[in-house]
Amino acid sequence: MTLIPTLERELIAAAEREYLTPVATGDASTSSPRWRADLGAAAHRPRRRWLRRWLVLSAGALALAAAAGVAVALLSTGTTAAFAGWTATPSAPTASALAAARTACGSVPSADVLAAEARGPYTAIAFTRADKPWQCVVKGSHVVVNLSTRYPVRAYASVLSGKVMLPVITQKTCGSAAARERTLDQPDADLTQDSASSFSSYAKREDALQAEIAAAASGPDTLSAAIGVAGSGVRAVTFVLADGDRIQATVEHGWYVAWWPGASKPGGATAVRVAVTTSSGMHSSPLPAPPKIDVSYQVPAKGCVPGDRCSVFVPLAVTSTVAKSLSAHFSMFRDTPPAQQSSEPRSVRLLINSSESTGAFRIRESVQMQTGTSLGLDAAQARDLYLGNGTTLWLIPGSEGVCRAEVEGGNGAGSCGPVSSFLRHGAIENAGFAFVHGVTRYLLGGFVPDGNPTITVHLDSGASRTVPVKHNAFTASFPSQPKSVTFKDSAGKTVTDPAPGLNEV
Amino acid sequence: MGFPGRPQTDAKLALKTLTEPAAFGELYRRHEQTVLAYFLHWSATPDVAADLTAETFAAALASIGGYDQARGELRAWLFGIARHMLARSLERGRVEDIARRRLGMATIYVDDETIERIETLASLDGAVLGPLDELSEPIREAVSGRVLEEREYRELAASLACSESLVRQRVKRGLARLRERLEKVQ
Repeated sequence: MTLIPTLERELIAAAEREYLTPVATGDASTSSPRWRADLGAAAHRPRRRWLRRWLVLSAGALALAAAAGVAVALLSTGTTAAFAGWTATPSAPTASALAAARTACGSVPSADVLAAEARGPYTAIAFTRADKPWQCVVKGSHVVVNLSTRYPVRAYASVLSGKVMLPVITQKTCGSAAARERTLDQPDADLTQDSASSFSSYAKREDALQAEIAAAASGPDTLSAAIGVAGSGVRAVTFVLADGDRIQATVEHGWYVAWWPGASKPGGATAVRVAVTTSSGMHSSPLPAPPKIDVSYQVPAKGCVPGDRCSVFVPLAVTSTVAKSLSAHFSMFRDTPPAQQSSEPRSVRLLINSSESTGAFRIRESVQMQTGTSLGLDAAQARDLYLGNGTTLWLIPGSEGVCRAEVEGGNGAGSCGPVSSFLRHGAIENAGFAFVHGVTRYLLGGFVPDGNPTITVHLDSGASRTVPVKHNAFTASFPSQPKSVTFKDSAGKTVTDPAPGLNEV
Repeated sequence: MGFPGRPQTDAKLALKTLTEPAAFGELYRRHEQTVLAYFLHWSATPDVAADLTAETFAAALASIGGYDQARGELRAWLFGIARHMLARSLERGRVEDIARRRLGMATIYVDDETIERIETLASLDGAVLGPLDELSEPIREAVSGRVLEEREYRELAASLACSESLVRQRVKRGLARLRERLEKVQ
């Protein structure tokens, strides 16, 4: 008996929503009954989807029919539903279907095929052309959609090197004459947070996953297509839609592909979560809110008939870049320092994703919350500062701001600020206290811009001390809290900032 | 859903939560009272303590995939979240519901019966923790941090700005005094 039984029930229900997702390559012996039941539910997705659509479009007729059984019987023939026969679980295409798809999609050489799958009568292939990934769905020799992503293959490859993705939302209409791009109204805060969240949930780079989903139109019908790269440790990828349906992706050669009927339908075909199975288990992460698509938009009849190589596509992600001003004024963001300079206490270690820092990669929840805005953090560029009291700080640069996070030995605290503040004030903090030879010492540490081979720390006694700076980083201990710190800002102007108190930055 | 047979470790239940959500229910049952007692100790208000407890477990659930046994016991990890929740609430003057909203959890209404149960826990908590308030502040902080929150000595030493050995001594002295006090009460 618990004291708050309703809370227990809510937590279990939340856990089901959060984590209960089928694992494509799971061992049957480890599958729970509930898990298998969900797989069964997913297999029936098309019928439920088209039943729902039919109910919406033909509400009047439904009222006349006055019996749900009639509706189901009509739909079960599948004669009127687009994408009839589509399945949520993919299978390997036959050799003849694959060959037909390669031909229909523009004579794709077999060597350029990244992944291929069959969903009922549909065959989909992902391939490279002109250094861009493409995703093409065909039925027989008829091309349903043929999508290219906006970014080159190398941009996707960089995801596997640890880049955190940021949303860049564009919509491209069909037809060469009418081709245009425009930015859609896309809530971006969630994706930044989500990216950080999903990255932090995978301690190993090989478990990284990039999620990119396009909304596409094929004549009057819409579909959602997902394509991206997956680390070598990713065994399965499953998309969870808003209505609870689950779409299993095909993972091959470091890429994954999936598609499903419908697009950006609130409560329906919108993918809300992605579940990734790795060697260390399964993790489910929320996906960003989908882009809004103008429902009145129709594919122009002329210039973009099915079979042509054009469609509406909406790439959702691109890798972030660290603000140029940061690398311009902080050598630590330009140079590639040695993997580990020293492990001695109170020495400075600056690492770039060495095996040590990658293995310990965590961005605590407190930091994620504060980085929910679009700071454009690039976790792959995080630098370590070992402060000598068992605490390791991570300095995570981004396109708009910089965050610090205590990742080892600290209390998980973190804070973020805009790039301008970092350029002006650096990041100087009280790193806690150290107990040296029976005496408690105040630890000061942080980062200052280039042009500061040393900083000057002013003590309450009126004395001052020069502290060396290495790779923009410094750390030193004092008998008590210093009064202030003098250094040069990124413009070369001398700045004197008060020394921070405990837990102040 | 129960888990018959040999009790599973917290770490195993945490991992199991990813595939069997009921496992988190077991974790909740194991740690509910301790977390509630912790918040009661600081807030002394049953509904606020329940609110903080709910947010703490929701945050734990949301990040359970990131729990790393090598970094410490789950209970300590949970109290890390609890401390964070408490600090944020004190700082902002309200209990947040970020984790619960993120998970789509319904609002937990604490009825009179639940309040009564929590108040009972508070009274039990008072019997155990009451004497804690009679300890001097440095010793109380050390005992509370080590025993209730299960923090590492190293971490405690850093946050209390003293040496590990001094923290150990304070914890030892504090526990001895608590034992004496409880023996007198009994």
